[in-house]
Amino acid sequence: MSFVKTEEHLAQAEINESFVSFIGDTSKYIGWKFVALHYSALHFGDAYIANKIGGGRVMIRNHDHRKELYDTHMDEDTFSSYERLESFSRKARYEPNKGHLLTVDLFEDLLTKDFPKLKTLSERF
Amino acid sequence: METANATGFVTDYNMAKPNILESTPGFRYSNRPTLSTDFTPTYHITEFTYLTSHHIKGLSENSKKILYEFLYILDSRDRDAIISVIKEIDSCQFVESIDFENCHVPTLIINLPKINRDHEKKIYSIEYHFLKKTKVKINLYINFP
Repeated sequence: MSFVKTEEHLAQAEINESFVSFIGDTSKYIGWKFVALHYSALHFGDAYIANKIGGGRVMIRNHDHRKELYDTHMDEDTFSSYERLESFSRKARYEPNKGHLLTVDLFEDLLTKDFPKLKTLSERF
Repeated sequence: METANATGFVTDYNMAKPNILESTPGFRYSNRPTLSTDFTPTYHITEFTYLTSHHIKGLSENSKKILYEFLYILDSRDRDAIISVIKEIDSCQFVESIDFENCHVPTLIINLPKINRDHEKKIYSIEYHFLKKTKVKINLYINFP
């Protein structure tokens, strides 16, 4: 575990976001789109935290630590959008019996309404 | 009365009815059991009915028992925070039912009938304020059929 710089988080966020497009519209891999979208949002969020409280770098230990930081330093709407992205990513990764929930419509909903809340955090630097 | 055997383990103690300060509804216990085997949740649950059966209608009987065991080890401020968040979730009309599990990580499972952005965000908004009230870790997990 080490300190990660704001720009490193932003770079990873963009790689993950571009991976969503790379996967394309193949329904077989739609679960990975939810995962990539969440991990892109996560790095946008971590970049924001690094910039806001770490002077441009941060070391986040685990998801609990991240949740604590996001709760403290993000507004309620952004926090709940992140939680929503995280929740469906988790279902995609760990709950194959919930695959029927991961639809194109839900993905579009997360992409257009929740994801931008995290992505635009960098505009507040 | 606690006594220790040759290995130093407590083998017996007086399981007297705990003292409850009436001014603090049901929360302060002066005698806490020291062994999980001596713990009889059903006995204590009767003292805590206001916490569970009367106010948290969406919580199953089994969840109440597990929740009580979890609450028992906490300070009253943390208990209050947890109970208030469960009650707030329970009061949401769109919540079908609530379960509580404590398998390594205490988890509140909120069962919703279908995916609905506004409803989910309401739950996460409750979580947002809950996290500010206590450092006790409880996962809020939204479940769909």
